[in-house]
Amino acid sequence: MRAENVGKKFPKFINNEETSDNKSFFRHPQPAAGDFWALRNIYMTLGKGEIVGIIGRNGAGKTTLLNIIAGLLPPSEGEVTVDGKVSSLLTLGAGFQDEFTGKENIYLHASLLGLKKQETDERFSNILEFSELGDFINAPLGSYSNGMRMRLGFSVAIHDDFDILLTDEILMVGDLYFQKKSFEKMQEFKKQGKSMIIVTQDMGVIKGLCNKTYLMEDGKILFEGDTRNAIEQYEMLVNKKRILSETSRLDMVKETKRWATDMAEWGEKRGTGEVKIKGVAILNKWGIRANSVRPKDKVRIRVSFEAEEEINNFHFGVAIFREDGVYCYGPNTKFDSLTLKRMGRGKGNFEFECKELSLMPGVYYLSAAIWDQNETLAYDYHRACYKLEVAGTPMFGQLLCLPYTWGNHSSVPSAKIPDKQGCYPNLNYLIDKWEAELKSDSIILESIKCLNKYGGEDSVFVTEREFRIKTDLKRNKQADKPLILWVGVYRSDGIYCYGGTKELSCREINSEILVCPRLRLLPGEYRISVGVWDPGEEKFLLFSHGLVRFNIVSDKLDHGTVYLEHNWKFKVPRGRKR
Amino acid sequence: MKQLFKYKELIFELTLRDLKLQHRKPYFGFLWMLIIPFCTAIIYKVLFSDFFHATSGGHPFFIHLITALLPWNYFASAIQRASRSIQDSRNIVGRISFPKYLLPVSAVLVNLVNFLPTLLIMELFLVAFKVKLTMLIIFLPLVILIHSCMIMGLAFLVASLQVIYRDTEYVIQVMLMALFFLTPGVYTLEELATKCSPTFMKIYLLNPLVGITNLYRIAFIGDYFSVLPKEADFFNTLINPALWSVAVLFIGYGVFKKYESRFMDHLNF
Repeated sequence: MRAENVGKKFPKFINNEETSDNKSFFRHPQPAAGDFWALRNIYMTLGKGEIVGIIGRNGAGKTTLLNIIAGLLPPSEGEVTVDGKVSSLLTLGAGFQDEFTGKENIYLHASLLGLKKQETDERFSNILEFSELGDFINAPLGSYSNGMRMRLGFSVAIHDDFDILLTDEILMVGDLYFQKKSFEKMQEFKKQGKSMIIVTQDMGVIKGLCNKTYLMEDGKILFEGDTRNAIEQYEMLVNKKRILSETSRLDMVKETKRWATDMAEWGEKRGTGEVKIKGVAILNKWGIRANSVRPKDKVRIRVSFEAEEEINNFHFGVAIFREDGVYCYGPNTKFDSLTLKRMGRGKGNFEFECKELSLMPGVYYLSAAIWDQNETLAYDYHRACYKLEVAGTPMFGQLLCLPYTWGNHSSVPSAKIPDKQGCYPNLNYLIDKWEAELKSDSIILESIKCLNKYGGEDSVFVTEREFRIKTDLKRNKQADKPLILWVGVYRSDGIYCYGGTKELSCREINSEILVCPRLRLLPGEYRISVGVWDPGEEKFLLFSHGLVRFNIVSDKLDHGTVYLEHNWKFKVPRGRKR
Repeated sequence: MKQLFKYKELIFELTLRDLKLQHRKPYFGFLWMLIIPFCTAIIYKVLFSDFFHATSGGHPFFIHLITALLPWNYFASAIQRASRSIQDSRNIVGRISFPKYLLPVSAVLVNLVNFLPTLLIMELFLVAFKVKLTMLIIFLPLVILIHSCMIMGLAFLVASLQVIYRDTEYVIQVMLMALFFLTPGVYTLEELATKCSPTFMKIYLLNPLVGITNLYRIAFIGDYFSVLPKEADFFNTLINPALWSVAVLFIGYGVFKKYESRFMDHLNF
């Protein structure tokens, strides 16, 4: 089977508010000016004995593609050539008649599939056995349960002769036992060397049967190749799309800014007082109380409290602010789906453990809070009362301390922390240059692109996933002095989150990719800045400051700007048992 | 057309399906197919013959009526059924890959199966009314063939048009009503010939259904030749309907094939 440049368009229907008054009863939906391409530019080949999977979200065009391959829909452009008999399990039991008995329906359906009566006679007992319907086969189909109906449809369809089988999300028919049997039947077909195209949402099936998988999205093939990679990509896509829906994204961005308290309120201790926070202790990697830790060290923040009343449905939270008021991170137990139901009177504590405090050197302040269920009422809330110092030299307000590498896919990642102060550009030059650009004759910035793990260009990324920034620079040959390329990620309000530098080579064309294995930023809009720094003259040759945008989304709610991997531990007083 | 033979099993199953669906549940089942046409005939007889004193040539009015009415029923119900055949089977058309033209074919066959037994009953009536039976009845299969070919062609045409223009079925209803009165069912040809201008008569006789009605009557009623007006000659009684049948069959099939690939686009929404 071979599909070349296949496309399918449908007329787009407008359905606006004006036509939905009583007039629309007489009026058909009018095709809008444009057409909707359900499929475009599909190339696909299927050799004999090959089994490929197609995955993708609903509406990605999978079924349309199968319909075209099966010859049920004519393609609007392109061509599909099929060598051999195609059997399609697109809809089970198509053409079943409720009034007929199972047996009559088998014969009718089989003849629609192109089987001779004699052939159906031969297979009838197999079909009956496979469908496990027993005596019900002589009962009218209308009396069947949905599962029985599907089982019957499936049984008839797979007893057809075919060279290529197209299945569309139908392997999940019937109970577990039947599903297993169907799966085994598929494997049997695989052994018989029949070709199959499987469309399913069941990744287990895809993993078990397909050597090659296509990932479809918006009528295009997004990825083709190894099944495991395709599934991984699909999961990422689904995750992203779910989060990407406009409202939830706005919520999420809003949520990250919640409780970014005014610095004027710092030091306040407020609460209804059922529970009181007695003290906050910062423990360094040896478990010793300390006020100062080193970047990337393990840190534990232990908050001890005493409950004077019994409370129900509460959660713990801490927050980290930077000296200048930047809300770094505000995790709480609710975001991490920990349920805390009941607290009795007595003393207890909770601990926020951060394996790697990926914050740049600087002075930070901690808040600690015990909240009620919906974060409307604080039993006790100490705002930025506790100081935490990360030792080292701060770097122009950079927030995150994360390893990065330069290179492309093949290079071995060697994590390094940006600490070469000597050749780091002085970002103070950029302070009042937000959304500005500087161009240079000797070196030209051609493009800045955000890439995902697979090298595809993208504008939306997921927290904690790999992230790459590709910059293309063109350099004049005469200029051979050492230059430093700097790439930085800013939050949309101008907070410098993360950056990396690299010495530029003297080659004419420089294409550099900054790889960040785990991007620990919370949802929101971010900007990319790129600059070329001349260390000799201590000035920027060129920069583009905050002109390229991208978004970050996450599947979890969180407060703040950065994400720190963490754990919670708590000891809740039980009170006296009655 | 050769494929028709290849798919005979499928045609059989489809026709069987329709017949079963139609006749399984009613208590009288298939009997209704025999009862209804004759009941209609009785009503028409009372209305036209007893009230309006319509003439019926040399033989009883009831015989005159049923020899036209039964073929007409076959024609009308087959066309109506065929017009919806694709649309109503959208759950099959869109799901399973099989030759779609079999659907109108089976729609026509179902009506043929319904029609043939009524002819047998009609024969009983003919005997009861002591109408002379001649050797001409052996041409009946030929008449039915011509008639069926024409129905088949129209069936292809309306089935495919109905998918694309859903108004077709209503147009068909109106057309069928008009055609019914343009065929000599409740009146006789000779009466029409005496009352109308010769030009009108010429055009009127070009209607193949007139010829086909005449053919049925010739086959069934022994002395029908004697009451045929001279305008109804050999050409417009036999050749004209035959030509029409073949032409309609090819045109209908051609139209069907042309639109076939677009069916799915129109059936989905």
